[in-house]
Amino acid sequence: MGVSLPLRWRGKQREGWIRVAFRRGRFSNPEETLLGEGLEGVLRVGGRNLGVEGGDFKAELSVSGGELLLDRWYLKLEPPPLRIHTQGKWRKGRGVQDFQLELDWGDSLRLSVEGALENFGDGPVGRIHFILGVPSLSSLFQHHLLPSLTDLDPRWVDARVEGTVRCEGEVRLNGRNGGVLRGEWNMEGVSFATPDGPELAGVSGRIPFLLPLGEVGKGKAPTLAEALDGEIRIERIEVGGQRWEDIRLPLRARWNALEIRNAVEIPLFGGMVRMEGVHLGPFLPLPPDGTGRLLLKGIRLEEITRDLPTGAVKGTIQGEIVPWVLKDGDLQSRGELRVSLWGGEVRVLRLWGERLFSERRRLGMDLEIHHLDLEEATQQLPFGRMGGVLEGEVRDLVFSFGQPESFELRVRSVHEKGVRQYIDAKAVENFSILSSGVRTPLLPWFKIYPYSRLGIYCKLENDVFILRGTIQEGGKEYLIKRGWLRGINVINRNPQNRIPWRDMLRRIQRMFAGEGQKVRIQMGGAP
Amino acid sequence: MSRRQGLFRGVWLAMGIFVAACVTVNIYFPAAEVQKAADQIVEEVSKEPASSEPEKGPSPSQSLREDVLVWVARLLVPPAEAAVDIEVSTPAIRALKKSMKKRFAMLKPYYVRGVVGENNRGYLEIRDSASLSLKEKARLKSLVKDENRDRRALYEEIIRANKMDAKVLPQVEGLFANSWREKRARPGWWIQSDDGTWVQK
Repeated sequence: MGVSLPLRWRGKQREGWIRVAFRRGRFSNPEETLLGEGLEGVLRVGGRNLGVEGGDFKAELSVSGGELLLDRWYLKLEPPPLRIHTQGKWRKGRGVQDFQLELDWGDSLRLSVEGALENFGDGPVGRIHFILGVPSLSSLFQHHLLPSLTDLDPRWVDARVEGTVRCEGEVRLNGRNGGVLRGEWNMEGVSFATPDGPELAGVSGRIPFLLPLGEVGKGKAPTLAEALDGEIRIERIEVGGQRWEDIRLPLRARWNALEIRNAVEIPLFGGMVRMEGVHLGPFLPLPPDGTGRLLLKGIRLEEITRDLPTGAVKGTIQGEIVPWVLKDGDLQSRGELRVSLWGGEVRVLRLWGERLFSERRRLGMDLEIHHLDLEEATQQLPFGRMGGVLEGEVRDLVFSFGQPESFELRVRSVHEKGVRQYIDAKAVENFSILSSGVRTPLLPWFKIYPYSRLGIYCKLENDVFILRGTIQEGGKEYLIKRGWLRGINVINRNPQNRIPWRDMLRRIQRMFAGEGQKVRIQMGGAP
Repeated sequence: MSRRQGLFRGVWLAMGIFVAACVTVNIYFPAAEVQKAADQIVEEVSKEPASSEPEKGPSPSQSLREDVLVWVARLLVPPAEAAVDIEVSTPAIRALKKSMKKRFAMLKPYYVRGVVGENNRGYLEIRDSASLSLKEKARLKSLVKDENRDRRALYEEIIRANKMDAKVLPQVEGLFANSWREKRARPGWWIQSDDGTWVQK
């Protein structure tokens, strides 16, 4: 590291200046969470009217090259240089007055701070006004963030970010009582896109904030009754083939909270999602808690399921999640969603989520199955043909990492006048493959068999399936019980069956093996 | 000894037995099973990436004869009930293992160079990164942070899947520490002994 230290001192004005020019400079904090290497630049520090009672200080730093490591974020400093200029008046016992700081990093980042702070002993007291600007998000992203991001995940290389962002606000500090951070983010023409991911275009507007500083306790009574209004406009969002245009979110910041002022309706899959009373707060400490109401109307199931290998399922989804409550990253809700399909209805109840803001999020729900027409269902599913009406429930259906983690299913047939209860040979064979892993050796003499009752219990826990019949008669356990005169029995000969996840996937593969390209099951997880 | 003293002693003795009985309640922690599971998982996620193996198991075109044989065999010999065994598979565990297995290939050069080592608490630790450039340090910090986040998540998932008390986390971490040092670390790689000293295996 090369350093030159010319010192100038004028005794009469009590003025002194030190100029430090550095090359290949390096620094680090003890924890090595902040590191600098190969730094090139100039630091000029000095002041006037210097004495034991205080003085006017000034500092200028210009860094034209080098590398920085902020925790795990790597930054390569390239021209234009990073310039920091600060000045103020320090008076003993009165703190810092007329404090100013300017940071200029070309188009990437600009920060302007001014204010006064005093009484550092019991925590600072004072006011600071600040403006943080990103004149070009593209420049900040391309030059300073992308190298680190692509190192973490190469898919970032094709990401595109544009627009400008500006944050103006005020910090009021009140010693031990903490303080208030208030202001707003302004955005103009912000867009974000990745080649295969979501696209956000034309985001503009203002997001206000009114947040506590210092000790933050959730549930702490609001100390400020004021509210700041703002609005976000989004020209276009595209996610997974869905496209939304011209979305307006009227916002209101309250003490440590953010609300959507009015109800917002968003078209989704041919229907409508209506959000009411959305309140995110307490906002700090993160993640924010929140509450609201969600209403779904006329969402078309065939649009959601159009890419299924079995073909789209016709039906609709509607209902109310009233209210949803978010606390410490976990979601609880009341209300129900009603999915109309295959001549019946599936009710989705007690939707919940755990660790929603982490990769390890889990989503859970209960399902009630009402009056499903088996003939209609099996015409679509390549399982084999069946007739009858099905009732049942799925308790504690939990998904994690995009896969079912656990559930407990009970279904049974219900007699309905005029509805024929039957099962074909292929469906019998598939039941056999699912429960025992092998095809039935009994060759079918008749293509269609009548049955009198169907009762199935299936449980998944810790990647192990249990498949049982719920009809107990004569010491046997039936999944399907034949009719009085003719028909077919499907009997579970192994009540202790425990089918590991991978075995079940293979069985499902075998079940659909005859379907050619129609159905493809992917083996999930590590081998 | 007076009768009163004898009675007094008797009461103390009874109380002592009662207290001893109260504090000698054992809470079973299946250490051997968890250790076995830890060894299996660590071995699995520390394998060198190999060419993709075809899935084993019954093929869709299995003949009817084979089906009949298997079917009859299953009727005659039902599968044995699971013995005392720790269940170590859930979607979360599978996803975490997959992620850790993929990361191992990226971490291996740092193990070999002695930059990282396995500590005695079940986590990966940066030992000496002085030889690395700042960019490499950033990359390594990310890898280590992600690895340790996944390990912590894995331990918690194993505890949850087995319906164990969350308080056993330090014990699970300790058992995994054995496995990381025994099963993953190769000769010449750095490991932390139980007494805290770093040694080359």
